[in-house]
Amino acid sequence: MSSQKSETMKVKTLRLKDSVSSLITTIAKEKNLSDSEYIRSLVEKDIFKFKINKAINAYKKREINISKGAKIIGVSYREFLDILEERAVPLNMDDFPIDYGLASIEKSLSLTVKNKFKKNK
Amino acid sequence: MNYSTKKSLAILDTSFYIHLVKIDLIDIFLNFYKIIVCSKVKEEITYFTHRDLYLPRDIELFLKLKKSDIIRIENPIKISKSLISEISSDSGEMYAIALAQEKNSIVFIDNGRPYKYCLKNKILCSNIVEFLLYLYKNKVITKREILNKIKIIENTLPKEYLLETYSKMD
Repeated sequence: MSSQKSETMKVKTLRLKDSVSSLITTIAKEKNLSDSEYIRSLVEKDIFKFKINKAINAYKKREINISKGAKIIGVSYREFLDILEERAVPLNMDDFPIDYGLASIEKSLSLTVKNKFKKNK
Repeated sequence: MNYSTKKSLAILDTSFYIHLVKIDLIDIFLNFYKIIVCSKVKEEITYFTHRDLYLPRDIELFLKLKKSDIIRIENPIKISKSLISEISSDSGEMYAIALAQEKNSIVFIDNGRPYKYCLKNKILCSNIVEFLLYLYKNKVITKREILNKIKIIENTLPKEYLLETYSKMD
């Protein structure tokens, strides 16, 4: 289980159009944030989106698995699974031969189980 | 339902366990199998971030089952070179497959590439859809139940694969 680590911050300067700059101040005020806090949140959100798209594309191309995708974005395994589900990205299961899986279950149960279950009606 | 008290071992990967809890099948699964997970899978299951407002239900259940020794943690003694080269290293699925190989047990994985490795190396392997299908074929759950459960996770399942599954139910 993780905790949020505090990171050191670096200063980056940027030039903005007057209109955009005053809009940032207006929106930041409405959100009860300073200009820099608001700009920082915008940048962080976009980086997060970028990482998500990168991980999803790599997963779709079968270059990475779920664990790796989660690491790229910086989320838990469960969160990446949720992200895939929300975006209707199916798990890479299409090459599964169903009969092999069924036979595996039957064989595994016959190894130690007498397999005498009966359904009560 | 009467089951034998002697159960087989099943090694679970993270996504299979999460799906199993999500579609409320853990009790039925435990009627068939004793669950073993590797430390890496345990780590993947129990890791959650500050974005989660509540402890996810599957984590809560996992910790409870582990405490009661219903879920055991075990790790493979060694991992073959071919497994390391074919499966993402340091992933839960790699350890799960290695352990299944050592214990001659079945591994449940909901992901394609590791599954293919199992197929190639004759390791018993299955996934959540096949487990549902097995239950249906053995009259443990009804067709309506299987369809309702699939509906919960259908966004994560490839359409063609689902169609093939449905065709096996007729």
